[in-house]
Amino acid sequence: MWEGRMKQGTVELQPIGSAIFSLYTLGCSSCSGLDRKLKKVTGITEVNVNYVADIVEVKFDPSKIRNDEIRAFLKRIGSDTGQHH
Amino acid sequence: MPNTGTRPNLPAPKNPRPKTVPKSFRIDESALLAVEKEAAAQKVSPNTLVNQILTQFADFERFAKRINTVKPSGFVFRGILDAANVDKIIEVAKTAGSSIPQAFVTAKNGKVDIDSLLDHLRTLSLYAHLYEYSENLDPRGQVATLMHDFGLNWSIFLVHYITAMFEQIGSSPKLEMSDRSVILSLPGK
Repeated sequence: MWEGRMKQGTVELQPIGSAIFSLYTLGCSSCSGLDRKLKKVTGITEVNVNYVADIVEVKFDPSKIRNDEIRAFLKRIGSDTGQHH
Repeated sequence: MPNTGTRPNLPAPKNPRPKTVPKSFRIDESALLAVEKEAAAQKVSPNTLVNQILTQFADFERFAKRINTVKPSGFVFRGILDAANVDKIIEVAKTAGSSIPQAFVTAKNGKVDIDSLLDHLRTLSLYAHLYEYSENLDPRGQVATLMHDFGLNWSIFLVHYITAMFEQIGSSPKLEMSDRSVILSLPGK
């Protein structure tokens, strides 16, 4: 689970964050191009939209973005597409 | 046999992207049509959708059915929780937390430790929609946040479920809760 980087024989641990958001809750079940939009956000390193489970998994650098900021971003996309519950 | 939950000294290698392999199956035509229709609506390939359906079965459904899992709607689930007696919720949470995660995790991962229990919490978010899950890892420790819309009684359940779950491996994470979230902290090494 740790991101490690070798540096002069020692392992330097890098902080990483990951989150699972419910697309239904965020009103984003049918938001198109979600992975593309998320990948453009600074600090987000990996996106996996699961259409069966109706969730999106995001990996991010917590020194650049917080999970609540990603959540707010998703909620805004849901609102913009008129799907907010 | 469960281990003591001690974290390894060295970081585990980064999870590689899962390997994919070609495979042919004969499936019902109506099922294929449904998958193709849904894939078109979601603007993804039928291949992606089929992979996600099978992954859900492999990672969750095949284990969930062994513990007789049911799926009420969020509305019904919250309504039942709101009407329930708190003492009974705590009792059920402790009983469930001391047995279900171990059975689930052992069947899936073959071992019970901190990482596999956290994976269990993550799996419940991914496939059972019991909460949204996020975690931050850094050398100082690990913090997991469970967010939900099911009210205070659900947070109470989760706190006692998680406490009982980690007690099985001799670990005691710090837990905080509100009516919408539970925050779990594990110290780093």
